[in-house]
Amino acid sequence: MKCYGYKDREGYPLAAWIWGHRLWAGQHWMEYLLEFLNVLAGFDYELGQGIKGASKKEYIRFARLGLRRFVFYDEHEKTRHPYDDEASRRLREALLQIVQTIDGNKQFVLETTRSLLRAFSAIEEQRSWFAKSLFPAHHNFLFWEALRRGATKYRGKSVPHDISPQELDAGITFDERNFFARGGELYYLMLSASTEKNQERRRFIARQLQHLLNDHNQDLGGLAEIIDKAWHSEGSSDKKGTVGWIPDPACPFYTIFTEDVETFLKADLDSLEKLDLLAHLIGFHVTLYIYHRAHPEATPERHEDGSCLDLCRLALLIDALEGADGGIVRGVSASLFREQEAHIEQKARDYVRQQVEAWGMKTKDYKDLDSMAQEHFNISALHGKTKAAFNRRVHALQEKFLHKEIDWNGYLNSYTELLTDLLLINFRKHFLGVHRKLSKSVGFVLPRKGPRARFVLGDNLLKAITLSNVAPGEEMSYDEFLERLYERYGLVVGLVQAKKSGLVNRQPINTQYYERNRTALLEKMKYAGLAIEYSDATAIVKP
Amino acid sequence: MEVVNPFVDYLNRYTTASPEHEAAFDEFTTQTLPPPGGPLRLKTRIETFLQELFSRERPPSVILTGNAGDGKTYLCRKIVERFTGEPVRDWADRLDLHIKRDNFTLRVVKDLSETSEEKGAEILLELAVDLLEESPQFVFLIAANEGRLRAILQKEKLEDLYNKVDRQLREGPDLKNERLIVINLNEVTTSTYVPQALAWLSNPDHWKACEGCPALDKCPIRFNAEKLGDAHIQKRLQRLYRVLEHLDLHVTIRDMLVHLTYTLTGGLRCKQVQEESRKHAGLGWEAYRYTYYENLWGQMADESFRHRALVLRYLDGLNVGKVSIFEIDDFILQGAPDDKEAHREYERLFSPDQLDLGNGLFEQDRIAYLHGGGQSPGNENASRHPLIEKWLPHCRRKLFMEWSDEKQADRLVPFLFLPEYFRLTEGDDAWLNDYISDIILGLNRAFSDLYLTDHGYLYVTSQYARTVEQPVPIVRIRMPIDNIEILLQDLSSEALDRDKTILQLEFFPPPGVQAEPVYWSMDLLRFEYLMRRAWGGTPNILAAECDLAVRQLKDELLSRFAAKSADGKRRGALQIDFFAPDRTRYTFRSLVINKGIRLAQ
Repeated sequence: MKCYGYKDREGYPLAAWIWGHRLWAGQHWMEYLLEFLNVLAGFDYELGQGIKGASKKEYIRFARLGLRRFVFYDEHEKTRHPYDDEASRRLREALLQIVQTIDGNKQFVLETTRSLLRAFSAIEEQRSWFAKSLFPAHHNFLFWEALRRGATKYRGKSVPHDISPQELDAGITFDERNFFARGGELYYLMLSASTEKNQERRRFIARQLQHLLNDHNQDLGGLAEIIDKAWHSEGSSDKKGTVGWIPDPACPFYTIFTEDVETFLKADLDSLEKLDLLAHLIGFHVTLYIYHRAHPEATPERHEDGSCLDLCRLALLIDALEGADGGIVRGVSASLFREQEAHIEQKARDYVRQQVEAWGMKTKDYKDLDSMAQEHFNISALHGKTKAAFNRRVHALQEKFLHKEIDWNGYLNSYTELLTDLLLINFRKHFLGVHRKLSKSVGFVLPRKGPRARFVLGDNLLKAITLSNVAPGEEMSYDEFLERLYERYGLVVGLVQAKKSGLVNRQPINTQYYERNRTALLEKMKYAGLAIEYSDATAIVKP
Repeated sequence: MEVVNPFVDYLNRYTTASPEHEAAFDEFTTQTLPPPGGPLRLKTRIETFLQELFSRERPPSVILTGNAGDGKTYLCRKIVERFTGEPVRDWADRLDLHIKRDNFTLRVVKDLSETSEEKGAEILLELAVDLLEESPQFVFLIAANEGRLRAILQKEKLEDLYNKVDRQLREGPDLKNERLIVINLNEVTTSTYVPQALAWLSNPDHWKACEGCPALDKCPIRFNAEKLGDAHIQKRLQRLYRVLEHLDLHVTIRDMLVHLTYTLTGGLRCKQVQEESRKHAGLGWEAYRYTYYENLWGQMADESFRHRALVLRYLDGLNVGKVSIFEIDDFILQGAPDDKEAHREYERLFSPDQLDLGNGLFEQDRIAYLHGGGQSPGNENASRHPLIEKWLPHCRRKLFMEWSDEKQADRLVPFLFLPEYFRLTEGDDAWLNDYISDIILGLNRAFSDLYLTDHGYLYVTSQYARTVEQPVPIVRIRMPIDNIEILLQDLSSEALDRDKTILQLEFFPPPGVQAEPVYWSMDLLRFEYLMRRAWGGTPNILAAECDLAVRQLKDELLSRFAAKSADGKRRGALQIDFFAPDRTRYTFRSLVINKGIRLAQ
């Protein structure tokens, strides 16, 4: 299988082999955007870096501890550490020096500044200060996820006054990848892979994003900079990082994402809104990516030669009626959602089976087989107890084989089962939930909590998708737009596409529901200013 | 003995004609026998204009767009009649009529939507080609729906023609153009024709046939016919239509005719009326429920008619019967004992023996309500008393139409600022500047979604919408109130009947910014929305209708006027303007960053 990115070892968990290294359920939807922008900025706004042969192998990770402590480390902080207390105190002192007032109330100025920056808090979620993020209104707001280990376990007596800033910061690491878990890196790689042969598009996207983050909100950026600089940490270099990898870089689905981003970035929007919608778009793309690769017909060959676009086209029914039809469309959509989830797990199982089969042909030595599997799936990294249980069972199986109670095929089958059971534990815990969390956060699936989840198009997501398909100044008929939604993303709204996708036969409901669904989405678009309907019922999409 | 007035039957066919097929309606009116007083001949400016245009030696091609019922087919028919000298008989199959002249052939396409897609595309292609010729052989007269027209032009990639059409549709018809004029009949203010139509409906010649009818004095139709001849009532009805126009709701001529005939007849027929009045000889049947001011709001209309009659749906939101204003309700019950003149008016309006007041029923119920008796309401039943339930809404509608004190009557329309809006748009521009600060305050609140109190400046803000903390809106543009003006924009045209003046806001760029001013039309809805917000109203009222327009204005102001990136660098210092929450309100603050941080005052 072809990989695109940076591989620093041979063994990866099960999910990585199908969906790349890696997507992780703990990553917040906004963090896909944040991580992506951090990586891009860390590569000096160039796509295509970090892979073998590129001029830069590592991207810079912005620490910005001064800014972060100022904005997030306050009296309510749950993860206090004397070093951070001291650092904060010194920072405050330094800031008081640069604050100028007429009436001498410097605290007030600092508080005002703080609440101004705090208003850009993107993710609070009861996290510690080092795991909180600011909305990327400017390049100077970008910083990488951090962690101070053992924060609440500090045993020292008190902090010596002559301790250097570097020492105060030393215990903070940037490698945890709990939140910036590589989802953004994958997106960076997808855009990079699909523009290998289109340097113009690549440059356009990178330039637009650079412009978006640097040439807007410069006042906010300037403020962030001056605060961060007040925390002198000379000699501490910014950290560096390497990217993960994606499978099958030639897959044409990635090109669809890039085309969307290119068109979207041309839209004339307020910078804050643009970034917010971009976050929705990324979440949407990543979710579709998961479903696309989970499709039963998907194989590496088909991703490679491009036939996956047609053969693995999704058929996701969008419920635009919101219950107005008594839930018929919702029911179909919900079953399709469940189907996607089933496909994901099935794909994982199939992969294990195929791998074991392939190994089983190369060698008839069960020890070899086991070591190949352990290496390929990085089993040594798993939890001690689970590993031990697995090894015990494998041992028992090997005994059976030795005593000729089962033949080689039988052994392979049983081994596959054991291996699958083992790998699915982490798979279910860390990967299976990604699509659910992401799709619900960006308004692609409703309800966020509760049963009968089904596909919808929330207002922001709808706007983002429309702007990605209709460039400024252009327009297209509503029917054309629906066709595009189907051709590109596999979204079904009206009867025409329901027929094309075979949905009409698979899940027979009265065709009038599809008609009503189509009308309902048009109403939504009209209401949002994305479409116009003339008196003779001609509808045009024109954001 | 039965008496039937054929005019009533004639009118009822209007209301039952299917609105779906425009051509069918037009043809029906030409094929039926005219009523005794003569058929309706609406004098429209567009017809005059087109007649003049097509009497030239070489007229331009004309495209008429509009809704079904705006009169496109009718106008085409008139032009054809003029050219051929005889009335058009059978039009059904002649979708592309050729009429030869000396130096050109007139091609009339009475409905582009009737043609197949290929034929429609062909016609437009030929038009596009024709427009490029020096001496074209064809002159086109095409009637089309805007949507279809645009769709075909887009699909066939007739870019040049599309741009020409688009420009005239957006900016108004180019009446001096010698090759192509595009006129959108949606722009016509149908209220202009209301007096004409009512005059025709109430023309006594149509009603001579009623003589000898046994139900003459009890007939609501006849009662309505008389009332609708009254000039004051005609004006009030026209005013209702005007309100709709200022809410940007277009009523086609056919919609108006269907509505006005229904207002007159209530869907009743002569036979029905005579039967009913025979049955309820002594008690008087509920003829009053078919009074014109009940019909005009469709009080007795059934579901299917309501569905077909667009104007009824539009007027639903303006049903003055539902609005309870104490002084007015009190006036209905007791008149104005302290004001002689007002009370005289009351006695005129509410004199007991009128058909629309149930020939004494209202008076009965009124006295019962006021002075007790068997039906005196207890607390729980107060609202169920027939006076409250039935008569108050009825009388409110009556007052709206017939009260000479128009100012009071206007209070019944559920728009708080309607009187002011009309005062401004009906030409009183001396008052315009008085409203600027309210409008600015309303915009400030709408843009930032905060209860700001400053109206010396317009603040265009932007903020991170999804913040988990208290929002702090950043001020991107701060414009002094002097940069903003309210203008009157007179939309009248020499080609169309368009009696409409609207309000428009003009925003001049803030100091230091080079850009064209931004214009924003303010119809009644937007005016009401902003004034209400300025006067402390909650953001949800009219938000659904106006949110999008306000957001688009904000986006346009930001895109045109927000200081570009270069300015920030040039200034040397960076400045962030924002609204900070400050105990009981939001205060405007500026942080200046220039080697240090300073709060500017």
